[in-house]
Amino acid sequence: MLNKKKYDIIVIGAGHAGLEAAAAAARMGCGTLMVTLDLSKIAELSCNPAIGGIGKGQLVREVAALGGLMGELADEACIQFRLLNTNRGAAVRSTRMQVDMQQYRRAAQTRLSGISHLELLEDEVQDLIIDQGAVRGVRLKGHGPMTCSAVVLAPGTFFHGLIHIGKEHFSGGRWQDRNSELLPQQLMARGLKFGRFKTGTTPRLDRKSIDFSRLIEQPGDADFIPFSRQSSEDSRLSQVSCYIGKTNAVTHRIIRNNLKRSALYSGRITGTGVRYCPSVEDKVVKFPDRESHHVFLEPEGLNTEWWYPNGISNSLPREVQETMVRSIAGLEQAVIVQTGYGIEHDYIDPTQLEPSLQSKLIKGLFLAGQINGTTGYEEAAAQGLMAGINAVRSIHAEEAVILDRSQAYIGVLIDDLVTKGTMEPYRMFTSRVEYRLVIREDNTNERLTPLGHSLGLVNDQDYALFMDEEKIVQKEQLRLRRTRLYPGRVSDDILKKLGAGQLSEPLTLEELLRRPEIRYNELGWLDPASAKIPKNVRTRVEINVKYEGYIRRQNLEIERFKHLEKMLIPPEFEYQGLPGLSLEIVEKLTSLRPRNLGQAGRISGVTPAAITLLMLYIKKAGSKFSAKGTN
Amino acid sequence: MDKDTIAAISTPQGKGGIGIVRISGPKALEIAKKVTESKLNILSFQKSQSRKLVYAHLLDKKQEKIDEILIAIMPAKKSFTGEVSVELNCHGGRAILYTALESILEAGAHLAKPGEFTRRAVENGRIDIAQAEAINELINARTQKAMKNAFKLVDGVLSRKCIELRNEIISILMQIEAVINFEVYPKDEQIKEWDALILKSETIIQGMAKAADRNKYFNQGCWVALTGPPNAGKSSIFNLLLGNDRSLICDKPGTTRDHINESIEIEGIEVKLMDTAGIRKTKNKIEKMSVERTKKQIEKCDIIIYVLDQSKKIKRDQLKETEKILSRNGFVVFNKSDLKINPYVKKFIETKKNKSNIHVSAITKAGIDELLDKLAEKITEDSQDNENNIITNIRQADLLKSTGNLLKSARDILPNQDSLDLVVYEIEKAKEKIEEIIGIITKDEILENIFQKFCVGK
Repeated sequence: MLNKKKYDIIVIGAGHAGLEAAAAAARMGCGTLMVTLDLSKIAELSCNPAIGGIGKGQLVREVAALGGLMGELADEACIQFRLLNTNRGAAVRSTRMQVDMQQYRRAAQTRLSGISHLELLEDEVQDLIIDQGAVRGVRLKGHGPMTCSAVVLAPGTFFHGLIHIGKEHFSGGRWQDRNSELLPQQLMARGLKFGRFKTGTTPRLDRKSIDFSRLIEQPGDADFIPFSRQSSEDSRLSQVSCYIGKTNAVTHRIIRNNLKRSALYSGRITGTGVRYCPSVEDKVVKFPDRESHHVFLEPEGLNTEWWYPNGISNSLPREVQETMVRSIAGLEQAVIVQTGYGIEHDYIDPTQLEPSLQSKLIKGLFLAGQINGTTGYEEAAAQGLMAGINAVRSIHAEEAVILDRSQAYIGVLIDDLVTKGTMEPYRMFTSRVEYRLVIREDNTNERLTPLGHSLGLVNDQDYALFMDEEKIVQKEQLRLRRTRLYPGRVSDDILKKLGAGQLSEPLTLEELLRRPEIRYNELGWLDPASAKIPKNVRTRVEINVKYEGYIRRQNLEIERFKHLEKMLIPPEFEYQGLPGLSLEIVEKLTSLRPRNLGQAGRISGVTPAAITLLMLYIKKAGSKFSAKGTN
Repeated sequence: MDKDTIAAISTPQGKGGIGIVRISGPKALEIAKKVTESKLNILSFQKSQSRKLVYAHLLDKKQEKIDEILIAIMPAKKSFTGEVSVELNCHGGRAILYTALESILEAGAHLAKPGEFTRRAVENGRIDIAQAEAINELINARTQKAMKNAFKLVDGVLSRKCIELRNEIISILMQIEAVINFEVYPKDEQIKEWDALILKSETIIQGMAKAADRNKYFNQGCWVALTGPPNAGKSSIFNLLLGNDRSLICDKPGTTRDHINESIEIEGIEVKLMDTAGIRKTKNKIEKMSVERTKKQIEKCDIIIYVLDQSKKIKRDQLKETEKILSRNGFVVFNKSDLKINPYVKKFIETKKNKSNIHVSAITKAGIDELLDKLAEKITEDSQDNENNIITNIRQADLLKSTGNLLKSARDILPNQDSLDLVVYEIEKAKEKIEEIIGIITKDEILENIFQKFCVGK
């Protein structure tokens, strides 16, 4: 039962966005209530049993560095660790963990129950209480009205969720979960603009029915680099392999012959789908020349027989799903334990949000996760954390915490959403990040932990650990710069072994390491001291040295970028009637209300000439150009 | 509010048969109606009447007829600026044109700032920056070649080429990004293929940049210096080439103290001739200064003509100077062919048989035609008119060169394929440079392209 009827912050939804928001708000000292339709489904991984991936691993590390939960939960539930893109370049390396879904949920529940100021409630929010354009509370189906100062809305796919399997369709927020219909109707009536997106998931298979001998084994890495500093390698769960199979001509023929019975292709699903996580129908139709597509078989956990065949999400009728799956080598006898389905849901046009994720229309209402048009657990968690932080800041009348595009993947994600909107479910990619050579997984803590600490989300003990590591990195870099190798005193054999050739003049270890053919791990031959350096420090030092020139170039670009970011546009700035601006541009600027000139320039259709004009007008208007950043 | 309406006299100052006043902007029609009287219903003209000349009368502020004119109406989609435009073809007197402009401004237009019509054309997407530059070059073209060349660009040759190159670059980026973002494993052949693709664009770009080096004569003209020892007759030859007595001539060595510039046109190229002070060791302070200055000026010239007096012995320092000039872009002219040739000079010429030397006489004018031919040959050899000649200014040439260099860096990193992130970085910067040439803004095209061409997604 609830203790009170009044909270600082109420979080609607207990998925990956909701739980980050609730945990952050409570840990920053706000009385927080998290409301969900089903308390047993907190932190449910509705789709694949994995956290991270290319572009997504970066998001998880950022969430962890700021003091969010996702990293710790994944570390605790990890049953396979892989560092992707190891040989594509340091800037694009990303972590991916296969997780035990049950353990993940359990870890989340344990963590949340240990947070003071946080209460959990199973109920349905049917409306928001709004007074004079600001949130004052929520109306619950079972518990009636509840007062609060800010709301974080993170309903995932539950708003008007509609599940499709072949020609059947029924409402539901997720398999066997009811959806939410009253709240989205109320919000629509209050003027929020909605759209429809669709996503889907694959049928789940019974492990006992899979012939693994006909599949290729894909083990994890020997190394383990946890997302969180708090996690230890010793307490890791036992590690398992995934398996790779392939679709074939028969699979494709079955799909093609049944396209009319697919919810997607019979025109039943009208929402826009995810292009980079396409349904198998999509793959077969759009790439008719491909003879085969990969199917990755991933375990959903250590204590479950359910396996997740990644790559064949679809909305075909049950019986077709079975024939299709059984056409794949190794899956001839496969038993489907849960049917694959497509799901359509409401999302709001995210350009209706401030970069703080607060609604421009309703003050005190913050939105996070799939409702904002994204896809993916990691994208959701990142938004949830920022929404939670900013809900707290808004209550305390403090300036919002906004990460910019040069600081974090999170910054790019949110800036893209609120500035450009999205025409399809938005997924993070490293290629979306202009400054990815300086925002990498390896330096995430350096970029964000101080901010997490100043917000009260990273505790002092953890922060001290972080500071220690930073000191070691700096010390080691200095040591490399100062240690000289002299010709004659270094064995030529060792140099030859390193591929370095003879020394003609003295050389510092840093200069040696800068050579493309030299790896830090090999320095031990010449430099016994380097062997004592911890692994994570080695990685960071090596990248810092090897990428130095590029980092310098990119830092110059960032300086130019920041120049416009610092030119704030007063919130009430009047664009109407400014000579030289076209009607189209005036309309866009008026409806989007960009925060600064940089953001204004990223709005589609706003020309550089218009930005130059705006710069003049804003200066002329005598508005103060406070160059205050948030961090 | 939309843009205001602008107007200006678009023909040159001074008397002319006709003069044109141009109006552009949302109120162009309304204003044109106020200042004219004709059978044409300006405010609701027919499609068939657009871009045609219609007879009308021009009215002044007091609505009195002041001129018989022709008006042309251009709808936004078919005008230069991309806005509704009206052109009034008046008689070309200063008073008429100014009165017309005055009533137009009175009727609500603003006086256009220099280049504002072109700026609006760029802003409204009618032309890109390279084309806008070309229009400027076209207007300022002094020679036929420069004019033709500029027109090619107005027509969008450079823009099309840049867009083509940019598309090539985007397609390379797309392939590498697909590998980075979707765990596709690159094969060795693929790396070679990327290298070949980058090299292809790089070669085209470097070809264009090289052509631009020669092509600079079209726009900046070609600087030709006449240099040599004092009293060799540089100024006499200078005057002969010009066809008038521009430089002061005296048999006293060192008459020319400062350099003098004059232009002539050879083969469609503006040749800027520079007559310089003779170079010699001297104690005269002023002459010493002028020698120093001359040396600096000569450094900047494209072609150097070294004038020697064939009746005098060639001194050692002159010999050294000759070698230097021949190794740069220049040739030697032996003046005073009317006098007896010095045996030393004769011997010198015989040893340098392969170099065709020009003998002239400033007095008899013998050999001047040969000198002009030689000069024309030099200039055209340096500015061959090939299809790569589509660069008109240094900004474009510089950007092209950087593009080429960035692509080269990308190829340097590529074999070490575990730094695909850096390869992409260099190529991306190259793409930005190309975009800068035509002034387009980057959009999220790479991902777009990946989705169209690849089956991605695990």
